Amino acid sequence: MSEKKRKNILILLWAAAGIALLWFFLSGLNIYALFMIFLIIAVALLWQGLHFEITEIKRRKALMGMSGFWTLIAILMFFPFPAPDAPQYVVGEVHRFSEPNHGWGRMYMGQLGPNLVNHGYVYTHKDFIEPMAKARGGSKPSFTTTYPLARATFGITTITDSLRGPNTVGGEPVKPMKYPWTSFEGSHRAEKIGWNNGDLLLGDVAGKVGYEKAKYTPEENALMVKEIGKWLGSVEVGICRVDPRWFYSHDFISKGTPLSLDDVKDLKYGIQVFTDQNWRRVLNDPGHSWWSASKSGAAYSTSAWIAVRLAQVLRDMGYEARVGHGGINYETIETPFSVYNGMGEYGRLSDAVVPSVGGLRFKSATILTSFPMEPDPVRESYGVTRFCEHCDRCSRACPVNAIPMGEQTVENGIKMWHVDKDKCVRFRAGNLNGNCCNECLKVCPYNKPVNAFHQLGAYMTKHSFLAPWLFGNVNGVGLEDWLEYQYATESGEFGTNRPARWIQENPGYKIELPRLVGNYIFTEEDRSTAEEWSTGIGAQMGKVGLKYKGIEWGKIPDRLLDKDGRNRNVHWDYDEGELGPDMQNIGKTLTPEEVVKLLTEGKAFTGGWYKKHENVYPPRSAYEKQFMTYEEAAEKWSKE
Amino acid sequence: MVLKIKRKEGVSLSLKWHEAYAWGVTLSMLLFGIWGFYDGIEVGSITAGLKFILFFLIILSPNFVILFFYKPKADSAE
Repeated sequence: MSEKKRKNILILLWAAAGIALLWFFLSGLNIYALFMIFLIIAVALLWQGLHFEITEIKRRKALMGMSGFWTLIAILMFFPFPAPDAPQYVVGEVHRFSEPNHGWGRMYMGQLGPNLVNHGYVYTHKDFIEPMAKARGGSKPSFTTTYPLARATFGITTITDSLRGPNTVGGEPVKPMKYPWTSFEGSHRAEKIGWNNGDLLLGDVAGKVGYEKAKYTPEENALMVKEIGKWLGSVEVGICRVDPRWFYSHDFISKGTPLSLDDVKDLKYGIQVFTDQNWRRVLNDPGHSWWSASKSGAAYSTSAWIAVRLAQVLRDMGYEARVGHGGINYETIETPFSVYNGMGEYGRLSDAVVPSVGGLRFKSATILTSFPMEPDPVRESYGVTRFCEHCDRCSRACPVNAIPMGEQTVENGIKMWHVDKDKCVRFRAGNLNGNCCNECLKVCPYNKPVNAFHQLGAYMTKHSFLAPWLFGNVNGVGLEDWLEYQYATESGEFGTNRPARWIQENPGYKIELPRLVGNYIFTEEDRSTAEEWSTGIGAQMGKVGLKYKGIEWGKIPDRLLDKDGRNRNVHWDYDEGELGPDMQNIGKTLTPEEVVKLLTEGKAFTGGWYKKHENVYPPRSAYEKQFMTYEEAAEKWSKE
Repeated sequence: MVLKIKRKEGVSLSLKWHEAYAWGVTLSMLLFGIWGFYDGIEVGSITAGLKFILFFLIILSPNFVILFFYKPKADSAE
């Protein structure tokens, strides 16, 4: 080969490397483009090394260039650059959340339609539905109560529910049960039980505080609570001051009873305990088994068990303490505790991502107490929110397109990503190919075991601005996509365990409002924005328009569509024994006059963060009628 | 500056500092890739592990070429 030809080939190779570099940036840092850059450079260097004279100086330059490049990358990836500022999520007026209006509340109270509220018929033979409903006080079996493993794990929460607190607050708990041996009160209790003799320092607390006898300082109290919580089985224990806006405004279990902040004024601190759903179980959930509900129930009931015991300790010491736990036995929204006790940060899923407990796969329970404790230090960012800006794996994996793809939005004065809860819950309660869901938890890059390798990864996403670009997948193919940790597990490749089918409402369905369910009135403002979608119109899966590895997101496969192009509704399957065509919704439709009468007489209530102040009964608190940061609200509450 | 390693009579390694630097960088990255390979097998699957090490082999391919092929010819170096 002539010298000129060899030179031309070399020029072509370097030009190809340049084109690959261009492709890399134009494609938004696609990992395959990255590979092409390195491979072409390697070929070009090889060609040069084999066909041209290389001097010692040239070699030195090449070695230094290559080593210097990787040293720079290593510095950018591993140097402890300051973490990004902790995101300020509160940007406006924040209203308390009405529990009947969270996704599960809306589903169980019929707001998402008659077919979905009767989803138990899909999972349980109709001959057993009525007797079971009768035995359960009218509550029909649901997806959590019809499979042995899910029944066992969720079922135990009906027992812990009665141990959450010594009395009712608002509507909860429904059946408070005192411990039969809890008969000492106040000073007598201290005298008899002797907890405060100053000789009780638990765990490693003595070593941490530097003295032998308990003084019950807030710092020492916090350390002891953490020691006990971890000893009882919690993976982490977080402590923060309570923001009263976290209390639900209306209760779900008692169907709408308002929760007055006057009833909970003593509850200044929140202790959050965490249980892990187990990364291998989450990773291996194929999405068409019963693992999803079962592992939720297991983690809920375990965290409940830890919390009711820890709360009883505090009550026996003479302090107020009550527990909120899952599945649906909370008095507060749970996620802000995880954010403001410094354990986690809001991610694309609207839930708190807690890196030390596998990202999204934890369940938590919270003890609200008057026990004075030093809150956890002012939180610093883990870089989670920044990372989620570069990652959309959960959005792409979502079977019903419920997780937002783009920028954060503001709802209820909170700037974050807001999941479409109606779509999410419809799929989880009405999943006809399996049970509940697990996709977002499974595909989240934070869903890894807590070992040194992945802690290093979490460190990099926290400190390095470069790491989210490499690990993120907003372009469809990032490192996390390419590595495919799920590959060859039961769950199959990313995204392939769907398509999904879910219970839909009758064509043309529109709920009649206003509607009374128990003590709660749903009004026109509560109408689901996904109502038309719930009948099968415009149903899409995951990221619309993205094609990757033979999967086309956003497309419902033809075999699941009827002749009109609608996603197959459960009715088409009724002959095969699923859901009847004329399911009755719960509740009673009201006239506007009846609504006004019930509300003004205090016989019924209504809420919802999106409603105007004058449309909420009973009225909102002062905390909800002005802009307050978390710090301001918690400070004010601590002095009430 | 030259890095000299002499273990026993007849076996010795002598590297100029920039050579030692390049080998250090390359081997460190390779070790990291092997750690990822082990972790991939442990937390995911053989495929995940293999892909991790493959990732490092690809991005290190220019390093290997420079270290082994991008050098003065033996006769011209003499």
